[in-house]
Amino acid sequence: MKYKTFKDKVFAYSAKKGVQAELFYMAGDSFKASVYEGEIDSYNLSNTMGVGIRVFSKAGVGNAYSEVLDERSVTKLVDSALDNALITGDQDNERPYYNKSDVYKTTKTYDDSVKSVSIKKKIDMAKELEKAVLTNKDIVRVQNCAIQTGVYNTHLSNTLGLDLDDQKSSAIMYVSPIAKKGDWINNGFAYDAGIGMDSLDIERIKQKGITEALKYYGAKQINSGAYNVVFDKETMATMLTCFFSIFSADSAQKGISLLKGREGEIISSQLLTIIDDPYIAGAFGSENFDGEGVPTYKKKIIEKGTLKTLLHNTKTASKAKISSTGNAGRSGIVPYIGITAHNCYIEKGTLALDDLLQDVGDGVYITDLMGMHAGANAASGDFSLLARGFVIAKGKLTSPIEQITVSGNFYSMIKSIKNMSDEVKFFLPADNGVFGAPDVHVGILNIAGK
Amino acid sequence: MLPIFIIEKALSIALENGANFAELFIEDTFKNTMTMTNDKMEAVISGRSYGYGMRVFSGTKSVYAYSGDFTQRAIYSIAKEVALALNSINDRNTNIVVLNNLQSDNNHFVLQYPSVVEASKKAKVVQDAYKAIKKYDARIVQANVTYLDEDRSITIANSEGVFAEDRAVRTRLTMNAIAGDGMQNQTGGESPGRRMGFEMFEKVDVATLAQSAAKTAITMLSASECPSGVMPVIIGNGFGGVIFHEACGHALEATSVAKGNSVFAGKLGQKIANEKVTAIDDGTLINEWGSNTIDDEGTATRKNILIENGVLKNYLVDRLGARRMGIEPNGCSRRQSYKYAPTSRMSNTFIAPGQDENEKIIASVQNGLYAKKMGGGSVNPVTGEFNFAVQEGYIIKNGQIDRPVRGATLIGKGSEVLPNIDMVGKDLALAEGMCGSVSGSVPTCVGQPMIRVSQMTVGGREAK
Repeated sequence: MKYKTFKDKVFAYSAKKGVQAELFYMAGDSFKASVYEGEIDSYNLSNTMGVGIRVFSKAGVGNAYSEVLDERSVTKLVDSALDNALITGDQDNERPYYNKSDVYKTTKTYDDSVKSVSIKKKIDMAKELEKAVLTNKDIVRVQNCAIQTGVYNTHLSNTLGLDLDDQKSSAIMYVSPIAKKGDWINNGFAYDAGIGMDSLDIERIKQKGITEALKYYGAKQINSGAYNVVFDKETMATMLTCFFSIFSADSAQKGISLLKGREGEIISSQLLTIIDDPYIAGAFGSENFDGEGVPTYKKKIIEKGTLKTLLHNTKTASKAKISSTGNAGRSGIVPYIGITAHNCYIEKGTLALDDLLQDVGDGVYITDLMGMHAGANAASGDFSLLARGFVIAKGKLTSPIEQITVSGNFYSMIKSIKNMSDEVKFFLPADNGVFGAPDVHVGILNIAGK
Repeated sequence: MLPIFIIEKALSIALENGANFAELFIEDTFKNTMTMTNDKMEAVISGRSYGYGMRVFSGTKSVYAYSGDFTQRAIYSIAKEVALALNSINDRNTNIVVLNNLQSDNNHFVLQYPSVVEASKKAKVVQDAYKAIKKYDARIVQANVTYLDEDRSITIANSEGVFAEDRAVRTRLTMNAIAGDGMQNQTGGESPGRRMGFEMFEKVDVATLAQSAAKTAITMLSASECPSGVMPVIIGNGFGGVIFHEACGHALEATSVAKGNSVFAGKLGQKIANEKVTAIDDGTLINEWGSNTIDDEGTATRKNILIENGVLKNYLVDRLGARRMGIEPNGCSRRQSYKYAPTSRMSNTFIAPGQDENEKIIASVQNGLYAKKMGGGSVNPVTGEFNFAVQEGYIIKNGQIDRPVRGATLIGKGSEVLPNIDMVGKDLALAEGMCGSVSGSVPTCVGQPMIRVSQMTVGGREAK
């Protein structure tokens, strides 16, 4: 049945059961094609929808979700959530969110070109990209070369009167060229992404892909030891992604983040400012309401070294007796409310990258990190990660490095930040938001190699 | 479930419109999770996923579409759309598909289906595990215990007449402990799982595992930083098998081998590992976490010997990979759900027991690392570069376990580390995990007895 009918029936049944309810609907249409040796290698189409419910009964909060929207699912969904509420028990008097006087700003998150450009044209673009990277004599084939577009509609409403909807689009094109020189083999990765087709530039992806595939040619291990380390924009953004949860009020209230109750204290180098901005036009993390329907706003998490705020949803905010910061997050239709960033980034510095490297003198420029889910621990702040990069000698980038690990602790690393470059870049969305950073000289870290 | 005549018609439509192979995968999965943390049952979630995926081939070209719309009109229109997308209308084929090769054995017995077990009984398991972690030591500042059950019914039909069904019930309990002293936190975890129902809790000693998770966190709280550099490394049994999974397993999947992207492509019959190494992927082990009766293409799972006494014997091959490589698929094609096209994946992958005694393995190392418990890892199958984290490590000095160390990561290249596995113990054990790759996240077991790697790069925070 139509979602609107389904929603009305769910709310009517919830009212009959005497409980408040919140319903989240998500429907998506996506297309992906990958090419190999000039032909379509795989081609995927999808069309899905589902709903997640939270019921707020006297017993507690219960959750359920379903991809089936039929008559039977109406009662099944509510009943199953009510059963679960009996298990959760008291949840600090959680209620659905609604504030009549809320004003929602607008932000551009949808571009019709992802639908209006034909599938044939999209496939031709991917073929052209593959052909373009293969023009380089050292690129022997592609591991992947694909284009992906999607449109996602969401609707969030509750029995108190909240009624919000949102539409997002995305277009991504990427290539992993495989470079081979003698016995040496390596795969690069490059992409363009945005909310519309005009974000995709074949020439730019090609150049970056070839560079990424070839730049580690001749890479060697360096000796183990303590080095001045600079993370490039991407690896710094990756570090921020991994350790973002230390700024989550949920983590702090549970004692997992060590930042509990430290708002107002200096917790990092005064050079560091971290911002979360939900209103960057065309950015993947932009949205005018969060996972609970709270209006979002731009905020500083760290300002010149001082922790200004942790990030809250309504549950953590009510515990802390403040207002939600509009950072309630959802993952698809599964109705678990976590904490996520919107577009979260480290504010840029004043030095051009060349000048920053000059200032470092001798050290290591890290350009690739692997195994974040294993080697980075947000509870302790510890990290020890497989890395690649370049030697910085006398202020210049020189030979490539591989098979090293870079190790440290995020809490202490942000205290020793020395400099950052004058440009911020954002990267592909992670589960917990979209992250960006400039190049950052983080001071001395331990490197394991030979 | 769809009537068979609709499935046959959908497959026939796909053939008529240019496919030379068509497959329909239907999935109906019920899932329950309960998470307890901060002394509260924080989230209790029940859900259902229901949808289908239609896949067609023409040569080595493949097209996949998935949807939750089960109307006949939608199914037939998707069948036509995917076949036309192959763009090979010349292959027009008017065969009518008849589903006559029926398979529906299920070797993995379930005594207590999740749907008939009261939620309060499941909650009690979670609460007991949570309490066991918290009371282990006053320095345990937080615990997180998640119970998961999943009841997944699948139907696979293809244009070769295969009609296969399976119902997989899985149960798992993930337990994480965080120890802290106000200045710093350390973690420990255990996550037992089985392809069975609630009876798992009669077979798995949850209390002991909960204590083990807490013990790791406490031990690591007072551990010193791990030194870095190249040294001999001993890796404990069970989850230590993640080394083989990352360093070699992924690079033996047709996903990387078929296009020549794996370092082990073209090396069948060649010696790629130390002769002490025999490695197996076995999807048939009764009630194991990574087992299946049939794979997600309807092929019966089997025991595949990948490496025998150091010699490469076999790859893991799905249907599409088989077309590219000109060999038979061997029952290892998997997908997270109908939202993914399937591809070659591991199931229960382990290094077989050897002849060395654990005491002798430890006594053989003068200065090195004993990685008793491993965390997760990852690999780049093109370069073979892998990494994995040590959850609980100890320094070995003069053949004896000396002191606990933390924060270590092991790195290397698969082709270089396999010849260096020069001692293999007898205490084979499996451990459960989730493996992520192109076809999503699937339950897998890793495993091994204690092994010694003669030299590896260890990344820690102390200069050597």
